[in-house]
Amino acid sequence: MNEKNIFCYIMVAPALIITMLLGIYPMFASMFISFRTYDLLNVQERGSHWVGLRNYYTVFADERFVQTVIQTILFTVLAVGISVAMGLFLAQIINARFRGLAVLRTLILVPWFVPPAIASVIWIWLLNTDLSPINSLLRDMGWTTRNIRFLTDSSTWGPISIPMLAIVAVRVWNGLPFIIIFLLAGLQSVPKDYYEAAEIDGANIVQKFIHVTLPMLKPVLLILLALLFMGGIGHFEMNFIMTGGGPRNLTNVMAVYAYNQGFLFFKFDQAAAASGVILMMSSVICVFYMWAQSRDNLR
Amino acid sequence: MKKSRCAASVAALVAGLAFAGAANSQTIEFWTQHYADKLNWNAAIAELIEDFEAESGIQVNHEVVPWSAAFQTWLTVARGGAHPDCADMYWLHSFSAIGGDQYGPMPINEYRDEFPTLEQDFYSGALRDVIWQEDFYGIPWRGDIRAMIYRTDVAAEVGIAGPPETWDEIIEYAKKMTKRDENGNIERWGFAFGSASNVVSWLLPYYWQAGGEMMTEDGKTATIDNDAMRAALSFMRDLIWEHEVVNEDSMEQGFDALPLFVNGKIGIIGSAHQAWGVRLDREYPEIDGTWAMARSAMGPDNRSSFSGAGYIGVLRGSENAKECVEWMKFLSRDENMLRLSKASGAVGTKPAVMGSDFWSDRPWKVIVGQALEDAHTSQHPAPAWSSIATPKPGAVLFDLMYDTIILQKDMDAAIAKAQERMQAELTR
Amino acid sequence: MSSVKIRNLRKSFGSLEVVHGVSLNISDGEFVILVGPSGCGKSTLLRMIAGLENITAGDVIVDDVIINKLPPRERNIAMVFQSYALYPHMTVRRNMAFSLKLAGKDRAEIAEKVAIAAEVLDLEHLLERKPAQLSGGQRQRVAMGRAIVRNPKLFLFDEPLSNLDAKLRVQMRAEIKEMHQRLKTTIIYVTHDQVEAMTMADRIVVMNEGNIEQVGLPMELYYRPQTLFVASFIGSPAMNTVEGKLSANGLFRFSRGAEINFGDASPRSGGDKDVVLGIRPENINTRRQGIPIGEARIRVVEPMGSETLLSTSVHDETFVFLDRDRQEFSVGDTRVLFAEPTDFHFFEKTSGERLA
Repeated sequence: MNEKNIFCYIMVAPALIITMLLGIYPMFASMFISFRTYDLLNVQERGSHWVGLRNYYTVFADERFVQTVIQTILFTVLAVGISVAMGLFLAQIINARFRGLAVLRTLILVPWFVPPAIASVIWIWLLNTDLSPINSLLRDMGWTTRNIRFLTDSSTWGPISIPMLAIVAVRVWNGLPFIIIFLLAGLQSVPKDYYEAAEIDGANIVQKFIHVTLPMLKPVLLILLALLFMGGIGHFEMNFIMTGGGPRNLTNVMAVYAYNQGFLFFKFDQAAAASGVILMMSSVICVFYMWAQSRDNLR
Repeated sequence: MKKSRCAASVAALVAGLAFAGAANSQTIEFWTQHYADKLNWNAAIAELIEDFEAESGIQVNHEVVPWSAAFQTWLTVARGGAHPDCADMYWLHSFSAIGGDQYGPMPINEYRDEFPTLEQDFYSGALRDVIWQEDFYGIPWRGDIRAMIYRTDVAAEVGIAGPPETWDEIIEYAKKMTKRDENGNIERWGFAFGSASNVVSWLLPYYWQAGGEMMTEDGKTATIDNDAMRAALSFMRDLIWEHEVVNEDSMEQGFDALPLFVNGKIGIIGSAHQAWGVRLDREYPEIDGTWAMARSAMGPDNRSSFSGAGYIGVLRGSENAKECVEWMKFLSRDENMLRLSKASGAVGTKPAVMGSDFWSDRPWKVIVGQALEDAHTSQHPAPAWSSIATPKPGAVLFDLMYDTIILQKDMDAAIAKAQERMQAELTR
Repeated sequence: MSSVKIRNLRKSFGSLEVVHGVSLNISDGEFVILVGPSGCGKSTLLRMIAGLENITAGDVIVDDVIINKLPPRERNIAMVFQSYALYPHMTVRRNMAFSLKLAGKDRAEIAEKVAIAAEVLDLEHLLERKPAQLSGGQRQRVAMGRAIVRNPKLFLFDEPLSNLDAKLRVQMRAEIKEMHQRLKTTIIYVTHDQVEAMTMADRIVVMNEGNIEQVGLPMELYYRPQTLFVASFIGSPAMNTVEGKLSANGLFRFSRGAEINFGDASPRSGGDKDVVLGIRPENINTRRQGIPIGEARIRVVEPMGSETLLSTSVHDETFVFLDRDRQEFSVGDTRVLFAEPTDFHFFEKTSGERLA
């Protein structure tokens, strides 16, 4: 082991140690627990013993959990889909040059400065049925007569409900700047020549977008979507703070479910199983992403 | 030259540490949650600590655990996490069960004789909160009594002279106070079940008032499948759907009654923290004179009020139990209990405290004192109680309340299912 | 195939004007090359014709229609870029078919046109490859193929050979010229390489600093450059230039005092003038033909195979001449240089204009 290698290992060591302690170890510990019993209220007397996949069966037998899984996927797809679509659009706008750009740029980036937990608290007030300024604006404009119960209306269309859409909106609001910055970097690396060639070939704005922008952005989009989906599956804060998973479980996501099982009901074995499901879904996305990457590289 | 200066500093450092070490042998770590005004609370504790130290020579390090982290903190302690020597704690039963013989609250039976006049000095209800499985754990220091609170100006506006005294009067008065605009949007709700965000705590007083109990005294059998439960749940359900005086979204996360009450958007709250009295006095003086507290209304059987408790006890693993007991003895004196009560706004656990001037100088305080006679402890002798009573979907009582009160499902089936589930929890 | 007329075209970037009122007429089917040093405005001019740059003032007229306001896609032009700008994610076939697809042509027609272009440019075996898998020359041809399939009114080339190595460049020059003869479409071509201009153009437009210096047939520019700039720019190796004074009787005096007597062969412009004398290296000989220039001391010998380039010092001025007689030269040798009087060019010193 020569000097250079040792130096490299030392430089990487702190980050590696922290990742192992705070990321890898808890992950394995949690997976470990998910295959054993672990009821906090009686683990002192009865201990914890191996039960294989029983916790997973239990958790999937709970219809609340199944509903939660579907909702988690739905939440993520909606939030990621809408924010990436909007991000593509807004990134193009920011990329152009026109008067008032600096102001618009600042406005678009503002939501990024708000941590998700704070955003949740702010929006709880903005979406409170009786006090919401949005509701009073809608009523003043004559578009509605009854207040919209953003976070408490339990009417559903399939698995979709107003609280779900409300939280999706807040997630989009909070995450959009990051996506825009990402896409902006990608956009600015597309050589102008391609757009000019397309222009001369007869492409209009939409066609230029489809045939030049999107294909050139493919690698950036791929990694962005992978990151967002993996993060989205495990999302916790907004659903926990804004609705706690309600009303009637309509905005529950797997992370909140796991939290409740563990810290409210003391059933850490089931909490671990729920977390294990999140882990597995993230892994699938990760594998898919790596496969897509390698396919590109092989070309 | 440099070397000797260096040696001198090292020597001084070592000496200082040794000194501090010597002094440290008489220091105890003491954690509390915070109450009412945080700065005020910290100052009050600091003063008590100063007096104690002057007297006994024992130093006390005070740390505050915010309520938002309190449950996690004690859960962690019960699982072997870092812990103080003694602390302001609650839910003795649950944390003792979780901690077992190794962690969590420590029984101090051997120091029982240091408190010879316990039964005479303290309310018996309060003492229930410091005994579990016949072991003695500490000194109860705060009560949390809930009483009714209502807007006197709204009452006057709709022609009501005083607070509702019975369940029927609740319905009648709330109906008068409820106001809607021409589109049906609510401008003022006549009634709200309770002030706390713990919605399960709203059910308990009505259930008790109907004559019911949650479980047997030994904490092993659930007793919720009865007419009292039906009466309580029906009462609550009808207030929402039949009389339309209560917000159907009350049980959803984020419902906060205080700002609504202060803005006059709620007329009566059935079960409000008595600490609200302190808060309203201090933070909203502009509405002084437009609100008042009242004893809980009379249900079919009695007029029980929700009452919680906190105690000061020792933690397993502490090596300073003796010093802690000294601290507890100091705090349990009448005048010190009064100081704690004043600073926290919490009800005291000794008649001596409740009879003081402090607890009679405001009309609401007088009411609170009276409500103490209706007190029914909310602690239950089962470790799984916190799991059963946790105010989140998936918990036994929450689901029962939500299914019957909000979703209006078949009550008999729901109650039977809840009884079954609760029993299963109790035998965990 | 169309005629193009440029009338007083100007372009400014902010307050900086880079093209100063340029006018030019191009006939249908002509191969016109805009040539000049970097920054002379030729690319800007081309892009204004393409519609990729906004026109600050003036008109671009194609087939008697002013097209200033038309976006590029409505101008029916095809452009070959310096970087080729081939769509990297599309095969060669799709690259070439792209514009036709956008125009809504049916598949049969597209396939046919692509096949024809591929045959012309020898791309048939490359149709399924992606640009990343092609060599520079192949990409060049694909770029041209993409332009050809559209059958446009006008071809625009923006320095297309700059990224190729010298040998390939020579080959491509011939191919482009051949393509023009075949298709007979009007071509406007931009380059900084005067050799390309000379070999390919029907007419050359020499530009410098936003102005047109001279427009004309290649040989016109070569034999009768109207300005000193054109004289120095056209022709390789570059023309020798010397400053001096020309008297009314045809005597040219070098700055160091040496003289050449041109007699009747010098331009008649009366009086003493400050002039720049020009003589091309290939017009200088050592065979005593014409009038003597002076004794030359050889400083650098550059044998090029068929000819040898000599850099010499005459009357303290540098003169380069080209020897095709396969003589042997060594550094330090002296020779007397001669040239025919009619091969000399005279330019006024201040304006750079040719003296008749």
